[in-house]
Amino acid sequence: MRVALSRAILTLATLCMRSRDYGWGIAMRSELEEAIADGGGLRFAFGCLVASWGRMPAHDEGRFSLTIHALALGLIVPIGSFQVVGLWHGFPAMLSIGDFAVPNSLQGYLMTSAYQGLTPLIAVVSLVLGGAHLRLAWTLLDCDWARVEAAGAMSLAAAVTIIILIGLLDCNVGQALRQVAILLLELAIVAALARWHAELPQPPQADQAAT
Amino acid sequence: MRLLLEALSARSQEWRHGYDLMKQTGLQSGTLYPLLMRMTEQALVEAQWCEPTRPGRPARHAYRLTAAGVALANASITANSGPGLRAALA
Repeated sequence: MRVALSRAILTLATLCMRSRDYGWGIAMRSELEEAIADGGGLRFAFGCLVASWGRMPAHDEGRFSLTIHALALGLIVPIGSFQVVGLWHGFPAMLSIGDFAVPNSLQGYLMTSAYQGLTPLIAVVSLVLGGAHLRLAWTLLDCDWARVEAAGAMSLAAAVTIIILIGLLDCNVGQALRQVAILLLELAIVAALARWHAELPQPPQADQAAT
Repeated sequence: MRLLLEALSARSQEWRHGYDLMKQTGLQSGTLYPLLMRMTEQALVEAQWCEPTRPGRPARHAYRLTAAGVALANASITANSGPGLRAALA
């Protein structure tokens, strides 16, 4: 167990290195085998992880990695989770129908029917929005830009659909508009990160790095 | 860095492995490797891959001081230590 954990920690340390230092990661892996044979594998691997993290802010690839993790874990995942948790707590059933439900009128009857019909649809689209956010975060950490683009487009489409549906119900769209504004800001940051990533050196293959 | 310079300059012609340097200097891997990386970037240390000494083990990285590294080590030892240590490192 300790050996497997040591190797896992060292793999993480290697992944946090810039591509130019990849050979150092392989060198550390070789020495890890000596440390494991000596009974100090975990301590050695943890030290390598600290060394790798300590150098991250000092180079462009490390700063890029820290930035995408901060964006994904600090903004995109919480917003996606907020969408899903919101459904748990009653959104969109909490949308007030008091504004349009004129009692004993045809308009009130129609609006109430529309409300009852559209509420599950808004819930489903909100779930899609939350899921697309989480997928956006995952693909961003993977730097899979084609899927990032697809998840971003899906998020935007879901958010606009929610605004249209809430607008049809004549409810307050202010909150939904704020969410779209935040989403547009997220997507602008993601686009800037994609350009940054394109300028970074690509990681070498393992066999090339070892030579 | 001084500990590492002393360890490498003690046998400056020999290629030394990272784990052996850790054991000799008492430095942890989290300290040793950033030092080795920085010293390699500054051309004070050179590195090469060595064939594994035991079957089934991966190739190992080995290090030794360059001429500039030896000069720095000598200057550092002359400046910072007494004659006892100089004699021991000679």
